[in-house]
Amino acid sequence: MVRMGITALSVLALALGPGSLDVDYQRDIRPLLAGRCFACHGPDGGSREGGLRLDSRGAALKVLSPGDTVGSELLARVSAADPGERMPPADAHQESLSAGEVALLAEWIGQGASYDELWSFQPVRGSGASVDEFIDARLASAGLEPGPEADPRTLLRRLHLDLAGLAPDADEVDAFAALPAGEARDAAYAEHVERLLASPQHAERLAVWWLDLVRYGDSSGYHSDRPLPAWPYRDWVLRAFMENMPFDRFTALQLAGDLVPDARPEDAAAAAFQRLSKATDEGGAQAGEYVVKYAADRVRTTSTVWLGLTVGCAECHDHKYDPIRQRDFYSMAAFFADIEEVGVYELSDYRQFQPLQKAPALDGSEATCVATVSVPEGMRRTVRVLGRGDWMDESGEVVGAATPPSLPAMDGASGGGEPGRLELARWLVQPNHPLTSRVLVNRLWALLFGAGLSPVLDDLGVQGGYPSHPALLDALAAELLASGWDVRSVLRTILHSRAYRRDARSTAELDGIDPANRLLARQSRWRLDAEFVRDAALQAAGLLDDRIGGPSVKPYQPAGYWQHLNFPSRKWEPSEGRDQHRRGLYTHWQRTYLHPALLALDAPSREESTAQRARSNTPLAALVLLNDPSYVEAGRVLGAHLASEPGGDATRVAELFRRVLQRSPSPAEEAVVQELVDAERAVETDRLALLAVGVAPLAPDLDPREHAAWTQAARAVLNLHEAILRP
Amino acid sequence: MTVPNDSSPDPPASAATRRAFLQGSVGGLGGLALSTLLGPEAFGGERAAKGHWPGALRPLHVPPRAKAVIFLCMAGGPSQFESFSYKPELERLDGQPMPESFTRGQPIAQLQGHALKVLGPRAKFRRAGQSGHFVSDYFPHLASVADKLCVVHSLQTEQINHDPAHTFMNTGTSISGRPSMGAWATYGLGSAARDLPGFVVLTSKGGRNPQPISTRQWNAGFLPSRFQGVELQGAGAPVPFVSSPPGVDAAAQERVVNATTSLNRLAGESLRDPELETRVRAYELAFRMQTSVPELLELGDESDAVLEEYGLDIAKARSRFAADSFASNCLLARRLVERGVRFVQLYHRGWDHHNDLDRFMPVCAGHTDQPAAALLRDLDRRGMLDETLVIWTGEFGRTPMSQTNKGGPGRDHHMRAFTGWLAGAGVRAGASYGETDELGYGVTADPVHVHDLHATMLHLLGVDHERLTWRYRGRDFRLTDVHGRVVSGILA
Repeated sequence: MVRMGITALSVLALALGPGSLDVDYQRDIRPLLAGRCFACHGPDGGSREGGLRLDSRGAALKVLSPGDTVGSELLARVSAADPGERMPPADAHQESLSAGEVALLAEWIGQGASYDELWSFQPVRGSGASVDEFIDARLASAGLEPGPEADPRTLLRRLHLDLAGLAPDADEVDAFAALPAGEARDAAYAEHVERLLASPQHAERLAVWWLDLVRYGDSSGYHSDRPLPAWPYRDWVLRAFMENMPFDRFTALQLAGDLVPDARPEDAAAAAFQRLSKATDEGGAQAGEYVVKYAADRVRTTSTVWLGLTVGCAECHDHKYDPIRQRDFYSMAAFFADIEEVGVYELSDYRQFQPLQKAPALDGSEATCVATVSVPEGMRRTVRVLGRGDWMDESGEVVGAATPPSLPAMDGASGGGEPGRLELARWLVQPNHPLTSRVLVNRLWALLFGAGLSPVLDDLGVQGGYPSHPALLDALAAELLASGWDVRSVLRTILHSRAYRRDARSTAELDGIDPANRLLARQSRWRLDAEFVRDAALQAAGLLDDRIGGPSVKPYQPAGYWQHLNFPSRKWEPSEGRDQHRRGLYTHWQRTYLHPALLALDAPSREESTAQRARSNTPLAALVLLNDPSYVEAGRVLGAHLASEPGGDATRVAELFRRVLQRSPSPAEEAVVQELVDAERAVETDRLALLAVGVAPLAPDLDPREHAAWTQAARAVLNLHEAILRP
Repeated sequence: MTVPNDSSPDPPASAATRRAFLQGSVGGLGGLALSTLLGPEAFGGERAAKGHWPGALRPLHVPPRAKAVIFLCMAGGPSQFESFSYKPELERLDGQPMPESFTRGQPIAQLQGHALKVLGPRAKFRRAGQSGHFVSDYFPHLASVADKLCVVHSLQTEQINHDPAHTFMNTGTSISGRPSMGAWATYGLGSAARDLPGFVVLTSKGGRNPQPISTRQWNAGFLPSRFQGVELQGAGAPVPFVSSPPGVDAAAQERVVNATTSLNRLAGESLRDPELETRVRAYELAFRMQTSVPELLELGDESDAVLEEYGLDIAKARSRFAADSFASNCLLARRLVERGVRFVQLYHRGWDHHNDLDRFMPVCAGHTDQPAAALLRDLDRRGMLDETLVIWTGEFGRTPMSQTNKGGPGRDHHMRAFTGWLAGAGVRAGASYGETDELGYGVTADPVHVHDLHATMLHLLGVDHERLTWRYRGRDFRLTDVHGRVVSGILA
């Protein structure tokens, strides 16, 4: 028997009163065991220490005596006084369990040490309660009151930014704010919701989110990073969101659109999803190696997007945490073994071989798009389990396409014939699939609250984090399933909750109890995504071009930024005319050299699937807003509007605030802007260069000095924190 | 002069949030990602760490020998057989078939499907200095500082094509989206540079077919963006958008920034958003960078003798100096490290010598030999070499077999054994480490895998490579993946 440390013992003594601690295996114990123990005592048999596994109850009974804390070696080892005896061992570089954690473990053992299947693998359970009932109940149990509703100006700005990625019109905000609270305002709110959900700008907003997930880019991603004609796929995504296409159909068309029997002609580009993986044309690339890289890329992407699992971790060994074996990784890769691969041929062949197809663009014209093509029957690639992921290892077992046995079996899977991509797509959305619906509603929630109910948007596995409101997540998933995968309907449900409409500001009390805002007594705030930061400036200036879809465009980019691209070397040619003012969504996405303004604001390179963008706040981002010609041009065009505004300076400052922030300035704010304008008016030097930045026409009738002064004022306000904040 | 100390970090806005950040990210309690600890307003740790990042590791794991790293990447893969690896046996077998015992079952790049023939050294070698390192005649300047070098003959990587091999050299994996070593170093150690990024990249070219190089190579991956490498460009503005708009002088720009700050502070009273103060700081730093970056390129404080030593054209350097040659970049590397920058990475693109070694070796060596040697001398004279680790290597090496499909003979990519060197802080100067077989195909003693190079580099910086981690997608990731060992044989 190992001796326990004194602290642990005293905590145990405290904890042993029955029911003194609220303990839940899913919420408290599995994360604890997984984080500290599973790397050596988990599902991966290849690295299991001492033959002990703690991820299943039967096996863990070796060191667990349910109901008997003193007799459970597990407890003794995690609280051992002797560092040589204590688990986890020093060389695991994991912290020892805290006294509180030991107490939780003791309580759980005392209550019988029950195990439960991972919450996200259990069937989705619906319930009749509303969003607010779940949230308010949880707040009440924490002794918290739901916070107040946001003021109407903030609320309308939030709603428009969330759904369209664009600010509302200032007049609309005035009208909304003038309505009395209660029925009238609620009715107006509902109208805004409906109008926005049905708008093409909403489809554009959702496309920014989806294109990150599917790692859409306009270039191939490896080495020479050649152009990839994929924008008709982006247009198809827009079309699908505009139609509110059911998500099950949306899934099938992307994974296997070339095989869907009743696909419409306008869905031709959907399957280009399979062509978005990075592809090489580097001389000396070994075909066998790249076939393996491409397959792994597809497994990682598909599992991140639909399963919310890190199946990619099982490329070299069984998963350390989740019930995914290495064999499952390769069985999943085998679903894609029919896809004709680009970039695995001799270079000369590659240059000829890039399957293309005609696909409809949104404006009805026909465009060229990469195509997904199946190899002829009988030529599917053989997929083997690769030891440590080594592509040269030919000793592994050959596997056919199959889904992981830890998840429900494919509906209607008969004995005959190997399932293909279409069957995989149908499996992902079959009614008893526990993951896809949860993964999706969790991400929709994050679009509207800044964070998921389950905190890690790309991992609903063991290490992903237990949801703050598991029953709410399930209720929304059940609603999604019952609605026939109606994404818009789920968004609507969330938008009509009181929780969504709350003020985002925190209080000292809330900061103390719930600093991460997981209990949702308030809304959250965050900096807009890179594309919407750009859109906001162009919109305030009245420059934003509202055309939907079409080839990607090239906003101004610093000279020399592409100097290291080669084979061939290329020069960035900025788009002309109105194309310079398209929404950020349409910016040409060069994966190895993403536009520096997007990069500085945390847009991902889209070499890999991204479910959660970082939101940083760096000097490089400040330089973008201050000096990027797109923003300077917005400033000088907005400045021209102001300078030509009839009325005095006060009217102009008010107009500036209305256009950018949809509110009036305070007297103190007005004074700051006035001071800046006065100082700028006193500048004697020629400022025509500033007034000529960008392609927008110069305002010929304006006094250049006056125009420059208001340009500077516009730049100052466009740079405000509030201007790029989702409130 | 010595490398500046990182002695005065900003006072944390809130000790609690900083503590939460450290616990959340450095293999700490529960291993929750920062985002889950602080909510959506604070993704990326910006709230915890204001304008100046002091580093996640305090204190360091082991006493540091190096405060800064200068990584000289010879992009394209220089030939070890024409630089630092002298193989008389290759000379003897020149033109003969490569013995199959070496190559059977081995991965091959452009020589796939070709007859494999040995190519003798295309250079003369001499022993240099007290150390007696073999150095080819292409590198007379590096030969003159041979006694400062620890030459490693047994480097190994796992990727045979440029793009993934660079990714492997920088991030320890060929999968995109992981942080590069410079990002790891600045995350772990912070940077003493107040007005400059902590991780700076400089590029130049000259030689055969400069291979493309992706921003992925200096990306922060899943680490917060502030740790991303910033490339100082030779053409256009040195940093994207670092120049004020045309017609806006420094005073006018400052008025805009000041007005923005005042307005932010005023709105802050009703917004009550803790992130706002971070943005104010970011603008202050951005404005300072607009001055500090151009200052870097003003050489008023450099003597003619120094410029000459690096091989710069003095008149040209004095009239317009830019980060556009390896010589400029070596001098800039020293100036950056002087200012407290933690990690400086130089790429010289042009070493992909599939053909015409005789023509391209002199070009590449001509660009890089003198400046690299000057850098070591200059650092040494200023007392900085003791605290600066300098590493010279390609993303891989080249084959002992010839490639002759066009032009004069060249060599293909090779990952089983290649040669690089380390110098400076904590490195065994003058030593030679690792052995290869008589044809230089494989390692016969003391292999140094890329993971080992990373582990050793981090060790010299005071970091246990197993304990510099970031929780991402359910796992604690590190630069060395699950591998790497500190190579004590190259430590002083």
